Amino acid sequence: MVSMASMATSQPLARVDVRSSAYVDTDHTVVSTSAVDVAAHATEAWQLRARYLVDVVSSASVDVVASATRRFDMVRNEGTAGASFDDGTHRIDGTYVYSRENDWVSHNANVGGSIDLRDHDITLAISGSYSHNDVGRAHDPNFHRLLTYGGGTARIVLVASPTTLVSIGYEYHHYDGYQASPYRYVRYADPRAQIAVAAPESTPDRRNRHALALRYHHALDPRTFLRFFVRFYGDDWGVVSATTGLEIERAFAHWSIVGLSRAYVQRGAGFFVDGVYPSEQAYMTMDRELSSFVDGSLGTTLRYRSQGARARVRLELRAIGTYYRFWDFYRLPDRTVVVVDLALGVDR
Amino acid sequence: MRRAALLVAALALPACAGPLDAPRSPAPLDEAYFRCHVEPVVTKWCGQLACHGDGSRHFRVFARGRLRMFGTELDRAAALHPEERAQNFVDAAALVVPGDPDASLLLQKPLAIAGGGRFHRATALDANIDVFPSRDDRDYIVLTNWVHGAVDDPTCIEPGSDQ
Repeated sequence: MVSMASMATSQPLARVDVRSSAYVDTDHTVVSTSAVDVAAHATEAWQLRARYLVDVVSSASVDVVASATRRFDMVRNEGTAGASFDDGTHRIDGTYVYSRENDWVSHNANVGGSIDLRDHDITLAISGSYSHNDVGRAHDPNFHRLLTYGGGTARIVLVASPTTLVSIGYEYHHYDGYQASPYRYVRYADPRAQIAVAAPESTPDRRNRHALALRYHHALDPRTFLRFFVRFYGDDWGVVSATTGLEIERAFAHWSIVGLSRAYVQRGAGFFVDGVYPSEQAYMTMDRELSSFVDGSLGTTLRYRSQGARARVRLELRAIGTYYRFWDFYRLPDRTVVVVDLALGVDR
Repeated sequence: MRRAALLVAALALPACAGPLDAPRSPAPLDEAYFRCHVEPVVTKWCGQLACHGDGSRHFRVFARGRLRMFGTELDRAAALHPEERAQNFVDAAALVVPGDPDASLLLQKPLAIAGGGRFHRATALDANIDVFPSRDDRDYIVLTNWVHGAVDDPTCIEPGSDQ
């Protein structure tokens, strides 16, 4: 935390980051993302930020492929504007994000603040967010559904020792509105029918989501850092999950290398059924994200930071592979994802 | 691990809603009106083999001379079996929203976008295969009446039957 106090005076006047990433999975989905971030200090404490991001998605995922739909291509544009105040002890941050794609428009607002206590040994942070989404369907100008969600987080960060930092945080989000997919259908058995009947997916309008996260950061020596986290999640749709991750970073003169691993296990929603529902239910879904599954990731990040007198250059290359095993989603027993990310930043 | 599971359960409990696997109350739809009025409309407009006469579609329509549930090619033109009629009924009923009939896909999909309907792949595949241009179409009114609860005499004889 002591280092945070010195950040206010050592922060660059302006910063530009350009990032490009590629996502490929075995479910026939490719996503290319490009983003540019700029930030500048209006005063020593106030910083203004802006970001533009574009996603290009091409997918023939089992989520959307039906007899009438083969593959779709989509472009998502996202703009972010934000401001933050940081005097070394108090921080306030506000961000607005506008995102638009062919079947989804969203407005998001986030505000947060934190304060350091006891000579920066304790940090208390809270944040709140609200999102307003107009859910549509491709080629369907008459289909509009509303989804709003909002929530907040509370977090406490403790400097347990000169080399150890521990944090605990709680999140709550309330979702209200259309949370199904207009592209997905479910099948159910009807005693009057010989063949399973197909109906549009339906999910509850409301969802309350809770999460508790614990983080542990430790410097093993001045150049070697260990980061560990565990997160528990539960909601009133019956989804329960646990995530854990471990990172080890080794720093050299201008370079550092990070090895990371992550594991996730989820119990699916109470109304999720693999395949054909035995009868017609109020809520039925084919969303694999609501099924029971486990995934594991391994990855590495390579960072470079120059020490120029007038400008500093940052370079980051990240590659992560993730394997998903769906326990009760017969249409896709498993999926492998590879994400490669390249970022270049300049500070002045 | 046991403590973690208990913690997660404790987090999830305070916000638990009603039963998530509750049955859905079906829309009050009349079988006789469907058989004698709706099914002829659906088989005429929707049941082409390249459209909903394709058995792999989410919404299937069994019709004389088109998709059949039983028999051989020689039986394709025979009158519909009771099982096929029942299947057509429940498949169509599955596209009706209980309590909000105007939001039903059965009404929105075949209606032209300019008339207030939803995107229908048929219009993209072939401009000549059109949907109902407006809600005033006589056959569309039949669909509307059914989802709004129209009933008929249970002894009505459906067009195309061998009776």
